[in-house]
Amino acid sequence: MNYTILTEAQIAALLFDSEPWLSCDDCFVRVDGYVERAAAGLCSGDPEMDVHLAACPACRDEADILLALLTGFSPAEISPGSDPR
Amino acid sequence: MTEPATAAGRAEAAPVAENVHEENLYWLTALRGEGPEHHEALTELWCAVRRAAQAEIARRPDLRHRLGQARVSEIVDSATDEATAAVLRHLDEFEGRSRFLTWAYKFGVNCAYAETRRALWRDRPVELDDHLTAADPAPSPAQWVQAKDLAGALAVAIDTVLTPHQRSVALAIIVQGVPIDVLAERLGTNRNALYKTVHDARVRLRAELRVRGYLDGERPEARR
Repeated sequence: MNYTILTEAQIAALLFDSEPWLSCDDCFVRVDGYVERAAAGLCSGDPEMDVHLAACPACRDEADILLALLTGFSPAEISPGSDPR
Repeated sequence: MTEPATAAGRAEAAPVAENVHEENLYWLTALRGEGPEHHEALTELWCAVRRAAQAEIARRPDLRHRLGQARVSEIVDSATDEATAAVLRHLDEFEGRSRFLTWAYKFGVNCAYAETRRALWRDRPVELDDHLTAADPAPSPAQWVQAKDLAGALAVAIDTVLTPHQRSVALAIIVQGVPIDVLAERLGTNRNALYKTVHDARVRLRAELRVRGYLDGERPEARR
């Protein structure tokens, strides 16, 4: 029996408990309010969003970019080669 | 559409509103209206959405090297136009739970994010694996015993409890690292549907491993 070697990160991602369920579409609807609360240093108050953003890297990336926009990150100020994150 | 110098930064200034509600009302009224005020608001919206698209590009300094400046500029332009159109199309769905600009930004980010992923993967094949292992599709109890650790048990579960679609999607996204938007395009579906597939796969895998005692911290040896 041969196994493809799974990394710890892959194991964690495959077994991540993504309940309560929230779709990517519903995440998109809520993300602006969610990120504004984060930018203000407030508790999210949205456990479904917390879980979805932990479970979905694409939505998480977009939320991070949105947060960077709200917290004063300026794309024009980033020079090539620097990591804005 | 090019970015007028006078519009740069004015979107953040919210020319009329004293608070968020008034700011939002300004945007909605102007974008739904006609004439010079509509045109000005539309220009400011385009500039704001472009900033959001550029924010995605800026966080990936490797993009210019991998795609070339011309292609990166095309992505920003395309994402900006697409996102601006999306904002106008969905204008009636804005509920005022955030600043209008924040709400508009997310369209720019979303469009740019998807376009950059597709551009980076345009010439890369995506091969869907329908098996993680070379295991017997109907493992015996002895084979389960052999999967003494979580990774091994998980590998067996992937091959036995998931549907072929769940298996191939979960492996492509989580193990192969194919961006979900890229896979969605290749399969003729959308991010939403693929996330649901991954979610369902996770539910099945967790249920199976819980029954077999792995998720409770119980070691297989302890069950003998």
